[in-house]
Amino acid sequence: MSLLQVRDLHVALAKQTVIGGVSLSVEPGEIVGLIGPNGAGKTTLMKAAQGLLPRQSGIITLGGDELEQLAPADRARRLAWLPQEREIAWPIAVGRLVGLGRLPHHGSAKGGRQSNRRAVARAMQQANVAHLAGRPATALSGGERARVLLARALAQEAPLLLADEPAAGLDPGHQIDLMQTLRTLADAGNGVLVSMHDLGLAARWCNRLLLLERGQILADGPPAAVLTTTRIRTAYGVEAVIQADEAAGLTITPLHRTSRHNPNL
Amino acid sequence: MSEPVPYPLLLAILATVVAILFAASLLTGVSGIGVVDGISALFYPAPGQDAVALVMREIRLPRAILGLATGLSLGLAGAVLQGYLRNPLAEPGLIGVSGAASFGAVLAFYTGLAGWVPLALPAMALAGALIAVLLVFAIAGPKGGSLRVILAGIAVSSLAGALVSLTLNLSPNPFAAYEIMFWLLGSLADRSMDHVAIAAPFMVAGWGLLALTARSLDALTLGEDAAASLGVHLGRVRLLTVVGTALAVGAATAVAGAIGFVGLVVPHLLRPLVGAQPSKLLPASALGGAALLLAADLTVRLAAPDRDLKLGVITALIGAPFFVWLVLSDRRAAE
Repeated sequence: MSLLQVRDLHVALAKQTVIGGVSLSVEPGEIVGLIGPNGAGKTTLMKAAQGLLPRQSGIITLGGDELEQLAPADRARRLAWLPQEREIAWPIAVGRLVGLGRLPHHGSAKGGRQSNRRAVARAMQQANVAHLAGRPATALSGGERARVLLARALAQEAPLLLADEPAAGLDPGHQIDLMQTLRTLADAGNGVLVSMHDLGLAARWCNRLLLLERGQILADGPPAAVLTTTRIRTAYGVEAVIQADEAAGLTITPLHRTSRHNPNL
Repeated sequence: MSEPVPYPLLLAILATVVAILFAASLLTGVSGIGVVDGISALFYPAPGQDAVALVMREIRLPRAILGLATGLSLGLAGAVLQGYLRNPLAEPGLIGVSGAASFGAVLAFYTGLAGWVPLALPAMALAGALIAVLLVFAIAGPKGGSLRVILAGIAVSSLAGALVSLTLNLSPNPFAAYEIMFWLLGSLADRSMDHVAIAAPFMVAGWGLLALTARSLDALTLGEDAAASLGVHLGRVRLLTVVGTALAVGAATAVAGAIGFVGLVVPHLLRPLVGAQPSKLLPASALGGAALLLAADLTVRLAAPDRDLKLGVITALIGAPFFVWLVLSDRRAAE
């Protein structure tokens, strides 16, 4: 059963259509990369897909149940969300911050003190932040902060993770660590929908890519099928070189703006 | 940040301080009643102790209770608002409640209603606070985020402030203006059990609503989106926060006048001691607010028993240097 199924989603913000008829699904075991230029509607799509934004129409099911039928805590036990803004308002200890991921389990069978503590420890291990447990969460480097917030989402132990540009601002090493963590998560039978701008990273680590442009899905399929020079030109307005290599996999190098590209289009 | 003092111990210490200050408040006053006399008169007045019992029960007890309850309201509401708005500079006055309550009270003075019906003053102040909340909601809209609540609150408070000034401006005689100004400075002098009776139900209801926000405030540490994804109903938190503050702080302002800084200073001071976790700050800040207000009221009575020093003056005298310290420490952290 699909962890997430979205059918014919329409979303308008300030009376402007942002998402115009998007359908997608995320299955257990796969990392689905959501790619597309700035303003294509990636964040809006991810928010609307979990009910954080109102939609004009469209049917959304989580693990087979309609989104609207689920109580908020129930939804949060099926879907974890890692927003792009890495907001941490107060200098609470990193361990406590990660523990916030356990809030949806409060009062449920898996919300006992023991299982909470285990889940938090596991999440911190996975995101490689166990050594930061006692540090104030506001006194971290950008990379540490990103990992701590990932640990928070992992502690939620939801079968589906939606992450909005989690790789932004990370160095290559940490980007690979991040994708490896998501891979491990997917290999354990979870599903991940992750938006990203680094096409090379997306091509190497995702099972499937969704190319979004102006609120519509331009392509949906394995990276090698989705990433063509023509589509990259259409969607991003850049010329790119794509190389397929036995050992390195797919490498994508954007070269320059397409000559006919009009930024105001 | 992990807390320097274990949390239960911190609460126990704060509760003890509040208990001591409450007792001290009962035993402090112009009539010079002895400790033993006072306490025995409060509980089991001996024959011939009627006057002492009257002072204890009708003057000092309501004053101590109101000091405790007002401080608790301000401390708790301050902690909830800072947590909800994720802004350490938020305080109960920000959403227009205190300003509107003051205007209600001032109107009671101006119309002379306060002179005829003693309880008209707190009743009108309370009505002002409740109207302010309705206005804030009407302006912010059904789904406005925390920022719009602040903006609406600022609009309502400046309107209330202008109306208070207008009333002072139009005040029929200098004495009425003087009386209004004095009331605005905040005081717990000469309050009766009737004041306790009118304010307490609203305050207790407000505390109940505010306490319900605790877990959601923790989640809000991650921002509104992440909190909503964790199952927090943002509209419900907003409703609890604003209505809870209106009830608790509106009632506090209605009986004690506009007392600033407590709701700002106390959550700030205690935040490092609870490891900055918003939910843990609520009980601590409630107790801290009660302690600060009882202490300020004691200071008022001990420092100048015959001058009728105003409570708001004392809390502001503590608050202003604190603000300076806040700015300086922020600067030090940045440099």
